[in-house]
Amino acid sequence: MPMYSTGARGWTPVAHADAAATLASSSYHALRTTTASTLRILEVFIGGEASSSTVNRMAYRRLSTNASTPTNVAPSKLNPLSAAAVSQGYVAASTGPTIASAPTDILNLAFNAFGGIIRWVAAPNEEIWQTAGTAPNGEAVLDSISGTGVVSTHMIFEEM
Amino acid sequence: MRGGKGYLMVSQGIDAPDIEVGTREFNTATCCHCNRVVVLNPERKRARGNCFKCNAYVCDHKVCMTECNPFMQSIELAQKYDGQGAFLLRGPNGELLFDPALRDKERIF
Repeated sequence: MPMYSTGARGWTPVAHADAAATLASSSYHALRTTTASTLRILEVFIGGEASSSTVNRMAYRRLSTNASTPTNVAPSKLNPLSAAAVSQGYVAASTGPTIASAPTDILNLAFNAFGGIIRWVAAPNEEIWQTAGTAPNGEAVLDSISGTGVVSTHMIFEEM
Repeated sequence: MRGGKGYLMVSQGIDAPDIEVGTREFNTATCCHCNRVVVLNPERKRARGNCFKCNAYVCDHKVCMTECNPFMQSIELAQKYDGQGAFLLRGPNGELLFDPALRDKERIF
């Protein structure tokens, strides 16, 4: 199956509680499927770029409301022969997404953003899945629960 | 990646040079019922959860431990009944947040 990478460079997280609504642009890194696509995340990487010690409690969370008109940052193909990704990465939208109110953390990644890095790689058949277009199934965001140190992030995923 | 588990690597920040081991590695596992990723505590003494129907790891959430709601089935339901439920989301105890009748309708036995 084709694999892709979606990246976001040097963004400043904003602390978002569960159920936080209409997230501001560039305060998250989101990945969305469409009505006809399914993906599974194989790797999440966060590199800290803060200029002083800052603990970032990052999480990958599902949404209760999808973003409206997200600005697609087309994921990069890992194999040049692959078709373009159907899924979309985005960091901005006309109306930001709303995080679901249930404890939605699929993956928690806490680290020191002052030069620290954190990387999660799924074991085979233990990936994080997203499918179809409707919340909370199709979109999810990587953002901060607490801590606002600048980070760069990427996620590698496979389209099914 | 060790023992068929996921891999988590955490590297210390710049202000922690006095920590002898600057990089720490952990095994992770993903619950086959709720899709949450769990960092495995190497000091854990209690047995870890396992679903004998799925033959896979389950996390410590109550419903994940006591009921078999395979996440892969939820993906199929989300594709088939798009817009009719929160198929890929689970509640605080791992409970389903969609109508179980949809799940039961698709069961073949």
